[in-house]
Amino acid sequence: MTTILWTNDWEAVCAQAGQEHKLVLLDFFSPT
Amino acid sequence: MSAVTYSDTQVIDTINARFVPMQINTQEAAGLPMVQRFYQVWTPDLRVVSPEGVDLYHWNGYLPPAEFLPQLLVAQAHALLRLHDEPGAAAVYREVLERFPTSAVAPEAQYFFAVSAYKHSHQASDLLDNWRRLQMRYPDSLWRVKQSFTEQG
Repeated sequence: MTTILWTNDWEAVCAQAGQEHKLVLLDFFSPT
Repeated sequence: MSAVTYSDTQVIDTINARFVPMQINTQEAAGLPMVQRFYQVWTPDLRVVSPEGVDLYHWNGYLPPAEFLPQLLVAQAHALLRLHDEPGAAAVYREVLERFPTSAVAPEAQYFFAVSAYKHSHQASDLLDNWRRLQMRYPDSLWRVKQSFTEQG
């Protein structure tokens, strides 16, 4: 893959992590 | 982060393989609920979170790929240890020590490799033998100091 598969949907992220037995990586960023 | 670290192939592959990644723009109103929920104050701010939304490990600050990758793996290992997956944590700490032995977080990985091995086996030798490796490999690290009570007498 050539990019990180970021999302911004918290509920979907938690559901996916539970289904795939993965941890969530949160990146709080500021574009400036 | 995006220009250098998040453009690195190893970083991309590691994040996509091991995590479900989510970005929150702290400058947008849509990000405010997450900023408040996680008491977020400064960027870059990275969290390893359980599927239930529990913050298991976090760190601040830019890191180039050579330091970001071992930090990311240590974060994964700490999260697994807190979830009582001691063998899983030990495997990731070992990976850090084998792939990134000179990284800034390597002494921390050695310290907690010992902890995870001991908590799995309950054999004191697993703790003390691996802390002795910490004393030898990383004698000037803060993590050596944190187990230095074992060096008395």
